[in-house]
Amino acid sequence: MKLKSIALILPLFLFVSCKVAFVPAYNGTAIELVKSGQGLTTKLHVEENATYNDEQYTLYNSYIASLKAFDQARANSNLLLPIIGRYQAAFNTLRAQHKGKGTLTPIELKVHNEQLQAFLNDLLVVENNFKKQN
Amino acid sequence: MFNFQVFAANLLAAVANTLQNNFTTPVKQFIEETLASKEERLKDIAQGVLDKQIDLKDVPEYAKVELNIAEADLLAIGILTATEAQDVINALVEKGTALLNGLVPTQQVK
Repeated sequence: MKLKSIALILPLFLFVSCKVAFVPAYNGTAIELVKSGQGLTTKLHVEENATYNDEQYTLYNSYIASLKAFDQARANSNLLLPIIGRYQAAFNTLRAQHKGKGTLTPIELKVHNEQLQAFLNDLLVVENNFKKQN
Repeated sequence: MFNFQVFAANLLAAVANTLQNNFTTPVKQFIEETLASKEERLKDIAQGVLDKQIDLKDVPEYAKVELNIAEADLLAIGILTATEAQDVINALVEKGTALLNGLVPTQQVK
C-alpha cells in the first residue's frame, strides 16, 4: 500500500518540480552569439561588399533569424525579442536601401555598420544585466 | 536652404529632452553613452551629406533607423516597465516624425 502511494506521488512530484524549475536568464552562449554578430556586421560592410551582394545579406538575415530562435526559448525573452524585432526592421530598411542604390560609398558603409552595431550593443547591455543578476 | 547639421542637432535635442524628462539618475550613464554614439553617427551622416557621399534623399531612412535604435536603447534599460517604455517611445516617434516632416528631400545642402 505504502509502495503504491509512493509510485503515485513520485511522478506527480517530478512533474511539479519540472514546472517550477528555475531557468536562469543568463546564458554565456548568448553573449558569444551576439559577439559573432558584431563580427558578421563588420564583415557585411567591408569595402569589398560596397556593391550589393544578395548572398551576404541572406547570410546576415539567417544570423538574425537564428538569434531570434535562440532567444525565443530563453527566460526573459520578452526583454530581448522586441529589440531583435527593431534590429530586423532596421536591417530590412538598410538592405532595401543598399539594393536600391547598388553601390554604397565608404561613409554609407560606415553608417550602415554603426547603425546595425547599435542594436547588438543594446543586446549586450541586456545580456550583461542578466549576468549581474545571476 | 536645408542645413543638415541643424536638423541633426534638433533631432538629438528632441531625443535628449524626451529622455531627460522621463528618467532620473539610474539610467543617466546609459543615456549619455547612447546619445554620444548617436551623435557620432549623426555627425558621420552630416559629413557624408556635406561631402556629397550621402544623398540627401536617403537621410530620412537613416533617421528612421535612428529612431528604431532609440526604441531598442530604451528597451535595453531593463528597469523600465512596458508602459513607461511605450510612453517614451511614443514621444520619441512623435518628435522624430515632426522633425522628419520638416525635411524636404529636394532641398539642397549649402
